Amino acid sequence: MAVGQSVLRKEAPNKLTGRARYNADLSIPGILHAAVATSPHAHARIRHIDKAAARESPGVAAVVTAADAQGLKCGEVLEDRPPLAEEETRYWGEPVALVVADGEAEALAGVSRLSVTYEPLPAVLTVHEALRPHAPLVHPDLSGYRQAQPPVAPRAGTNIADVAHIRKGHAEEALRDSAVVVTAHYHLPPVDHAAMETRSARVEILDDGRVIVHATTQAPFEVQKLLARYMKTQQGLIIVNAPLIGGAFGGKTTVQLEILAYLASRAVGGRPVEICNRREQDLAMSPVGPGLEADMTLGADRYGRLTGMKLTVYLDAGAYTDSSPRIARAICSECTGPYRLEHIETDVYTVYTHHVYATAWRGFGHMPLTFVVERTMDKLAAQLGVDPLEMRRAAAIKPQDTTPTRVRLTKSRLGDLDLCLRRAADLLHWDPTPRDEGKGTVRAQGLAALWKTSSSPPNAISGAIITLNQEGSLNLSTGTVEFGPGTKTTAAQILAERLQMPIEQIHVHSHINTKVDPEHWKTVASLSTFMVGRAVMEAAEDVIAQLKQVAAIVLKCAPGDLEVAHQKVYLRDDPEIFVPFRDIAHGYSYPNGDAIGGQIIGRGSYVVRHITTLDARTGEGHPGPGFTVGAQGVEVLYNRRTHHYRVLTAVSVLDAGRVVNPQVARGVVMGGINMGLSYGSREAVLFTRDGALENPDLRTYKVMRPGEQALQYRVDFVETPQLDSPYGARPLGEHGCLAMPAALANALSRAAGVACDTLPLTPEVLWQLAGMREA
Amino acid sequence: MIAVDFAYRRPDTLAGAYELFSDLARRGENPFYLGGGTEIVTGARTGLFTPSSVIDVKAISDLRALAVHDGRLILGAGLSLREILAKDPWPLLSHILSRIADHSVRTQITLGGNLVGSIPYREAVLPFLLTESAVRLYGSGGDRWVPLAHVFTDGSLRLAVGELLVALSVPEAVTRLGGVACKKTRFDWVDYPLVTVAARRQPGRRIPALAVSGLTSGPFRALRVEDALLHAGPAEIPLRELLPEAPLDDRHGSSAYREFVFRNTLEDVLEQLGPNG
Amino acid sequence: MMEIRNRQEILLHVNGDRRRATVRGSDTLLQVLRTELGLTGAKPGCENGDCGACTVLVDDWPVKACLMLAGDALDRRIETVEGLHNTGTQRAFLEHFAFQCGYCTSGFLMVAEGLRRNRSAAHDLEQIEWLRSNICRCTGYAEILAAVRDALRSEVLKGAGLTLAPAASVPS
Repeated sequence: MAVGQSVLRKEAPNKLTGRARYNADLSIPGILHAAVATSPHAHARIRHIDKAAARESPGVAAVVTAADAQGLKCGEVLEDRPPLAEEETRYWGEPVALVVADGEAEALAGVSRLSVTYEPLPAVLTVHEALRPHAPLVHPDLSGYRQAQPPVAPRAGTNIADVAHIRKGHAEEALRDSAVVVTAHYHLPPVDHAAMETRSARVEILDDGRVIVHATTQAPFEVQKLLARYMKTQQGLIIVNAPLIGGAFGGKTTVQLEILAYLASRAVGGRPVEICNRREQDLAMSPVGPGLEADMTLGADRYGRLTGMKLTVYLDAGAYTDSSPRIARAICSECTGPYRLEHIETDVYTVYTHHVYATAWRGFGHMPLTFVVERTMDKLAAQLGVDPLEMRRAAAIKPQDTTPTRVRLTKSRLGDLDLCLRRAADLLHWDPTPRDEGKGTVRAQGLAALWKTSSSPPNAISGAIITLNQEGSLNLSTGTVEFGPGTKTTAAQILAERLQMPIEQIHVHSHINTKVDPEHWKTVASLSTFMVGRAVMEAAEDVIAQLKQVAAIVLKCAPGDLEVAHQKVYLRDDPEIFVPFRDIAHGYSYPNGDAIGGQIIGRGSYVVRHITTLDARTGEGHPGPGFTVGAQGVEVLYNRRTHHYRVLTAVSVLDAGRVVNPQVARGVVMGGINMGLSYGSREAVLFTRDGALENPDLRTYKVMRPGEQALQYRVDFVETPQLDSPYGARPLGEHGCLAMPAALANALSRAAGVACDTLPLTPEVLWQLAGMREA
Repeated sequence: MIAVDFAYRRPDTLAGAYELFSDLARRGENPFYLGGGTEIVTGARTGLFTPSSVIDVKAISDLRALAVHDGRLILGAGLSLREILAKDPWPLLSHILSRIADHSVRTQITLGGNLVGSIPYREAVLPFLLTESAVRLYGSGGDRWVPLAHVFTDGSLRLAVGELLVALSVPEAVTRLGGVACKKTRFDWVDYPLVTVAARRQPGRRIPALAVSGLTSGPFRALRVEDALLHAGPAEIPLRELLPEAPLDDRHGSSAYREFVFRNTLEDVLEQLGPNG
Repeated sequence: MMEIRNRQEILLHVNGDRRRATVRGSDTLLQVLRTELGLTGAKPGCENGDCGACTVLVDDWPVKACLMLAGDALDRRIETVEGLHNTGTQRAFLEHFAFQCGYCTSGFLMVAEGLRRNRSAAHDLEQIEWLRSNICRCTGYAEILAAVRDALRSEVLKGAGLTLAPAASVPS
């Protein structure tokens, strides 16, 4: 009825009239503004902060520094980050002080009058520099930090914040006995989320102890818990509101501005304070997606069967860990790519540098991981002289195989990669041989495969509450935040399908309020359909049971005789005998006026099952409920003289389990493709030799504009149901981007006859690679 | 938002604008003439500029001129790039203007603003560097036309304090000569140039007149490159010796890559213009 | 001579109405629309003229409101997304699912509306040239381009006295 239909997003009309309200649109008159003084050095000792002139500046109500945070350290996994720099600053753009004032202009004027004396210190600006013996330490007190969400394995006296491993089989021997072995080094720079809405937060501390937060967050319930912990207050007193979000991509999972706004509000007696990132701040001060360096060795026997692999990854976490140790484990979990490999030795180091810190970025490490694996697969195919498609098909992981973390796969858990590969190859008219197109141009294709599971915590929860309006329509409350993929609409579709009723009669709200909405862990990891869907299904069952119970009395039958559909409860054997929802939604009234029942309120609650943390030595464990596999490809037209190129066709085939909303799914995947190609072709957070951010705005941090996207998208889905998911649906929110940079690099490597092992692949990079080949 | 406050003023005449500017400057203020305002607004927001007043001059009728007078095409400095593109009085100029910023911003950027702004590329000047151009200035020296070459040196327009760029002119006949423009960026269509070349046929000469922006710190007429191309192809000319300074080396592109791109662009330009420049 | 000094009340012509606003000379049109007039449809995305999320029409032409001083907008006709009521452009965006998070949508709609008014016969490349002024981070742009193409096509048909099949309606 609703699942499988291209349903418009519930909030769609408001987005076309300017009536959809985002966080900064909901500001209140008289609110104070906090502006941030940020560090002009990548690494410096703070000698002195002179607040006097700023404090005297007209309209300024308070100046807040680390001293006001009383030693507070924040961090999702490892509490290593002071909300405001304490004795030293660790990245260019790090918040050092807040000026709270009547208006934004006054606050900014106050910041310009703040005088901070710095003593610049030597900085480590690459993972190599950070790992050198006697390198300056980003965190000399590394061993003293509280581990908020283990596992994490910091190494005191180094810049290694964490190391995670996979040890399975005997990689060393397997590689030694291989007929062919390829080894390659990869370098991928940090990237920005560049959501169109910058991050912002408002906080008010009421006299009754309640803390009211409005924030651009993907994780309102995380904000609630962290603030309660940091401020040593009850979670119930922290009320977090998350309105519509203007794009997130992982960048709004981090909890940063909420804490700053809290400190600012506390400094002015709890009055409401707003902090809103300017774009430059959003890039420089708030976290980015991690860059990495990686070395991969992959072996095959003489028949082309994969034998063993070694992978070492150095994640550039920047100055603070945030979620990097979790990203490291996500990389470990799927370190083979979607291929069967019994002998694995993988180490993922989370390395501190004096860069802006990193957080989740669409795919949680899987886009760079996929790049590393899929480039190596193409190199191996070239060494063996086999078709890279056929090599991938032969190596594809299958039910009954085990993953790097030793999860035994089933068809339901995994999906069908071979089908994805074949369909993607068909859509691309796969031809691994570059074709000369005349005038110095060449047409070439690249393919890459992907897989991903959620790498979510073992106790992630999700809830749903359904209330009935008197007329028989339904209100559905869930804990997901709405930032584009239409999670609320999907939840409504699942409910409409289960109750066999029109989706127009199901009402959702786009704003989350942690006080009234049931918790959903975080709107991340593409897990909403699965987790919320499970909760919605349970809540629907609850509603059905209650409806039947009342209807059985009204219709003088047993509840077991009844069915529910079309907003009616009816006799299975005679549907003309029924009671409509509207007669029982708020209790049933007999003709003489007395009533039975009450408002129907359904509840559903879900916790992921069988998820475990990974073993510290071997990585054994169960990282997520199921996988999404897929294959993607591109065809490029490349000019050998200028090294310019154009993506002609982009292809994506994901195993979606079941496509709940075809047009929305297609749109999300096309958007992912575009983001992946944007990352692959032009995006990089750049630093100067001094560690200053070199491209802190959207004029210099380049993302794709209209007209630069692939000339043609061919998006398709395979549907191998995940049996424990509502209607079989698998996650697909992040996946559209995952293999695109790899596919692009594979195509360009073939077109240009060079090894594209770094990103972004600008014409200058290709020119350099071609020059190195000739030299 | 812009943290600093400043006054916005829109005088009606050249004299009014100049007097206002001089008056404010005399009082120790920091007035700015405002054209499209795109640079001033962004620069004031980031703290690059701290104007005390902006004097919006683009609506003054002299800055709105677009006419042929005595055989010369006159273009007011206050015309927006979009307005000039819509009238298309000089196709080579249109080629250049159509690649500056993006469509929406071209509705705001003025011809004069692009020439006198602080962003160094000033691509709008390129076609003017290829011919006997003149500029109308209004200021302490009175209201006068002077050859562009006298005031445009080392990549920027040398104006006296308070002097206002009112209009530019070129011989109308030049606007009918063939020309091409070619802009190369790092990768994106909307971006600052790695290299922009404007080329115009020169009657009786095999090599076109060339003006270049992006390659070095400011736009320049590439006379020495033109001469060298008489004797060798773009791939062979000793480029470094022919340029006013070494190619820029920045996040848009390395010095060596810019040189590579410039040579390619020259090839493209020569090919597009065909034999006999 | 027109002048705005300190905080001063001005009249702006917005969405067909004369609206009073108290502004500083250094206030941008975007700032005034959002904080003085409550028209939050135009979004700040970069305040640097790069992203186009704040695009409005000024005398029918798309302009980035973050780059325009309020003083510059005196005597000019300003239209924001709030001034669009069930237009063909909005319907086409709805039909093509041409947005996801919605943050950039107002800006794209205003560029598309500017195209419809000024260049309804624009060919694909010209449409793209206008739309390049804006950035969308969620979609793959194909949906936006298709929506704009359709909106212009129906406009051209309307000019010839023809209509396409009725589209979904957008509440105003």
